[in-house]
Amino acid sequence: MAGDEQISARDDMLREYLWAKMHAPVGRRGFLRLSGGIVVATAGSAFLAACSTGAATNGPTVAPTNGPTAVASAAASLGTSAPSSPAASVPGATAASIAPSAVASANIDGSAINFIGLDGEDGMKVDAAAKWRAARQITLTSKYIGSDDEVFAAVKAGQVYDIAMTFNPFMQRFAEAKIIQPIDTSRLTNWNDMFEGLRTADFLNVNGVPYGVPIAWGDGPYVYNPKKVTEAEKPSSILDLLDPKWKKRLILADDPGFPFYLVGLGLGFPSPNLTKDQLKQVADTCRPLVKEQTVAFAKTYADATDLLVRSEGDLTTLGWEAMLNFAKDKGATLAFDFFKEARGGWSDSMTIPVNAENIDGAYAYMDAIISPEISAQMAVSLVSGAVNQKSPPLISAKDNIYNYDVVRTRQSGVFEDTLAPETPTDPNIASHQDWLDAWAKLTA
Amino acid sequence: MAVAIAGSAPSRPAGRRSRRWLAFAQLAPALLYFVVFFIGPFAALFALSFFTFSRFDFLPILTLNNYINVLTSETFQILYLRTIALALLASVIVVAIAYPFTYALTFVFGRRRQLLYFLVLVSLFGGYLVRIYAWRSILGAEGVINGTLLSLGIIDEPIRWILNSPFAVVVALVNFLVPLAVLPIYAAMQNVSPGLIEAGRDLGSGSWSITRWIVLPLVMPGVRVAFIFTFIAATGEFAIPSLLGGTETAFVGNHIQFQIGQTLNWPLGAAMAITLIVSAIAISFALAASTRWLVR
Repeated sequence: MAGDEQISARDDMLREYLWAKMHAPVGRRGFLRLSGGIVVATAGSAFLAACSTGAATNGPTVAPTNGPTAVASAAASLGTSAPSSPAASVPGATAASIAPSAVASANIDGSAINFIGLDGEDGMKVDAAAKWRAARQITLTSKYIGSDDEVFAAVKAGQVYDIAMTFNPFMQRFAEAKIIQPIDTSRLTNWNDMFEGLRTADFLNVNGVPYGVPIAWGDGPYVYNPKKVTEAEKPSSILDLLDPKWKKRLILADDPGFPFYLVGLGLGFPSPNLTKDQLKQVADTCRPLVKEQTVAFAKTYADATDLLVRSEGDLTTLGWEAMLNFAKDKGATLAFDFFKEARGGWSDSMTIPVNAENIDGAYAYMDAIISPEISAQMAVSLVSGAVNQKSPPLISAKDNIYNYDVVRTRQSGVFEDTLAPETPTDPNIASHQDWLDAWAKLTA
Repeated sequence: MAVAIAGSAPSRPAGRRSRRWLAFAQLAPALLYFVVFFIGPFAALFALSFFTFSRFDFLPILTLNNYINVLTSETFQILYLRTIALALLASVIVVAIAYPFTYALTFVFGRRRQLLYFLVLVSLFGGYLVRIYAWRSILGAEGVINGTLLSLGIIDEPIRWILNSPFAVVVALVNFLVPLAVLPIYAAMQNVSPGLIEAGRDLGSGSWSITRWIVLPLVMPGVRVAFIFTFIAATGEFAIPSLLGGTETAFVGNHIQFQIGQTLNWPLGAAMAITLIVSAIAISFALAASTRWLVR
């Protein structure tokens, strides 16, 4: 009994202590300490959670904060093309590993397709594509981007899309990062009607396997103001732009791909497979081009057009034939031509992210987009080249502004990779990262 | 702490305790918002800065290499010094403009004070990119300034250096940040009693002496906050240098955008961002604290 009384007394004291603790007033300092503790605990748990993910998984799922989309660089869609070089290898993706399968299943009626890419490249503005979707009651939901790194961020963050647009300079990187999957061309009835120069382009194929379906292309001209640049003055080589008469008259894109590639060719190097010494020489040659001859970096084709029309610059290497239309809308006239070293070229492709859900729908829609009629309408809508060999006759003479000889067969100087390989097999060859680092140093 | 007798309540009045908890409850949503939308992402960015970047993947293999690359990179050093220098210049100009304007707003304009204050705030609501492009129209070769000077015959050719240059960046920064500086200085000026100014005049002080020895010491906390706001905002800029700075005025923010958007090296970009944030905060507080000599 004495023991029971002791236990009871102890329990009472404990109860009183706890009650007093719980009902003690929290002053200002106590509240601030408590809040600070919550904040530190939250930050610490976020840190630990981020660190505790396994090696096989990706990084934090919080997407980065991007700048305003209007400022986002469109340098990725420049006149740069695929590598013909010692190409990067993507483990696991070989021609043999993609088993042939049946043509895309027709059982996609009523399904939804989620798209991420540039406005207009989803086929929303094309009547034939709209009819195709309506006939199958397909709902297309689109998220529009300003630059391709937004696709990277979205897929890395776990957002689900069935079709993602990938610009040619990013194709290999996305394949290496395993955010897009190889394309089973046997599921595309219109694949073999695509121009050979596109189907077989190095930018598209990794270890012989295509990772995208091109839906548009351009041939990388330079664009100039004919009132400020006479016919005699027009450059034939990019090295002509180093002449002092071009001081503060140029507009470039903030990207090394096209200038390094062309200057490398101009110096007689086997661009884009530059050795590190050759890269240094190219960068040194480009230094006056950027620092003395260039007045501004344009963020987009529309931005470049605006700078030309306002007479901030006289010539831009960020060129697209559509800029002539943009200028016409502003009451100005622009013209274009090509450097003798190479045209470069750009191409935007539909790709399938690794976490796509409606893969059947993705294949069916991509196949439709590259069909003759829809490809022709897409070309007019996007002011680009059509991708299907049967499309050009369907385009009016007024809209048929591209020379399709450049894509009929695979040839050097067009869609030849203007980008250095991502991971060259020869350690003496400068990688794409080396190009980017050299450019960052040059433009600092 | 005192242990109360079981069953008895503490001696504080219940009404006062409930008012405290009411205040805490009112703060809770803001605190939650702050934690979720600021602390959380910042913590994730901080964690990412220690990750390893390999073949476009971010591996949770913690490393200090990103910070070592940042601190030893010549490119980053050049951009960092330029960013700090131009941000400092812009902040000093902003405060130099905002202080006399706010002084006039408080003590001179009288009835029109609220209207003018509102007009200052309205400028904050304008579209960010629209305003940057507007400066292109004003400073460009065919812009308002050059057009006016050419038509008056003062110049024969457009003045090119006012756009695509550090000058354009500083002008735009000042334009964007003056409203931000006006807010805290104006709030501080509300605490200056007109009676003090009147007393100063009665004792024979001129306007300059009143401003320097009476008003400025009292509003100095607001001035410091204004400086800190504008300096930190200016160091984080990337759109203004990108669109108005030409090829000579890239900021650290542009390089961060390059790392994240072009090289896809998020961990390195995160390390640059954290380095910039921490150093900008440290510099701004140090500079603000050093102004104590002004009010001695």
